[in-house]
Amino acid sequence: MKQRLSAMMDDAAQDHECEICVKRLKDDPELRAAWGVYHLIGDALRGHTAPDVAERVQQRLAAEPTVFAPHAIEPPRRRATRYALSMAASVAAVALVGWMALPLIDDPRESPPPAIAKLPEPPLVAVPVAQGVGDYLLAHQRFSPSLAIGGIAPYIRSVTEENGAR
Amino acid sequence: MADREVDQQLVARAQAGDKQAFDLLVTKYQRKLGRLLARFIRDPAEVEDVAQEAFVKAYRALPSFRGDSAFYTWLYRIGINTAKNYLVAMGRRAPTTTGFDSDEAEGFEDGDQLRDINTPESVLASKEIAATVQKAMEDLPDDLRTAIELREIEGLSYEEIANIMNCPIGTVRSRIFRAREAIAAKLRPLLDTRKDRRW
Repeated sequence: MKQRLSAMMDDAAQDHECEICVKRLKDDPELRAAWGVYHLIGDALRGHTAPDVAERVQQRLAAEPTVFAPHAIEPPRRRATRYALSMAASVAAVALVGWMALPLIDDPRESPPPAIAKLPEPPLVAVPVAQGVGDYLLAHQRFSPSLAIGGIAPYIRSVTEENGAR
Repeated sequence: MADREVDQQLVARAQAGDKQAFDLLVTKYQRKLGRLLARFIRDPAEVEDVAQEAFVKAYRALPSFRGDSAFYTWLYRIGINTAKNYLVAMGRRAPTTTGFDSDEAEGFEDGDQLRDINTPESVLASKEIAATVQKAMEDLPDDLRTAIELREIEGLSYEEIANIMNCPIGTVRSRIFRAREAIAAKLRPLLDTRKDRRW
């Protein structure tokens, strides 16, 4: 187990070894002591042996309210799984759209699709705008969700009414 | 698993109420944080106090850590802010030119947390540890010494060390572990003695 710990410290352990080590560190005082000594050795070799505040911090934290925020951070594996599933869903969606669009692609070898009855287009009718609506829209523009669009886009609706409606 | 992922695992456990997991992070980063704080604070005893304060603040702020950055990056920022606030509270200027208002300085918990600055014991203990590690390194067989030097001092990966030493990665892993254990065996009596002295 200590050799696994040693490798884990050097980013050289397998994922399952790291998981086992991290779990064992909680309950194994000898393994925790090894964690401390191995890090001390590395720091000493790099010329740094101070400060040693772990014990004092531990004593102070014992008096602190226990932090409990279990969903603040996603474990790396779960995050990777979530990304993989999102990617898979995206690929599946694109494949489905592509498959559905296949019949729409003209293929000269295939017989032409049956004619679809064309409905008459409804006539365009100018809807009179109540007086003052334009002013109302401009005054309340900032509440519009379309503000997420930059530039003049949010104002397009407000300025397209006919002059006669003013 | 990368070092960052090991930290994330420990942070996730700490956020779920496991204080020991946070203790492991303190053990891992205490000296690295200390080196950073020593750039602002000269007195070793004060560096210890500020480091302690920074870790406590980091623990309290754990719910706000989302894992978007590495844990040490996040801790680094807390350490810097804690050092600056400490200097302001002590009426000293921080060495950087970025101004920060003394009114904004957080209250620094001093009083009973600060020790007498004249504490040579910790300095002596550090020198003893450094000398013991150095002597243990000299007593190591060449292959073990080379492997651990390439790892700890040069920062090479196991793959790179395996290429240099012309041996399998498993052999590198074994040599580094055996080197650590050999040095630890000589350090442990010293560390146990230090613990006894405190009582």
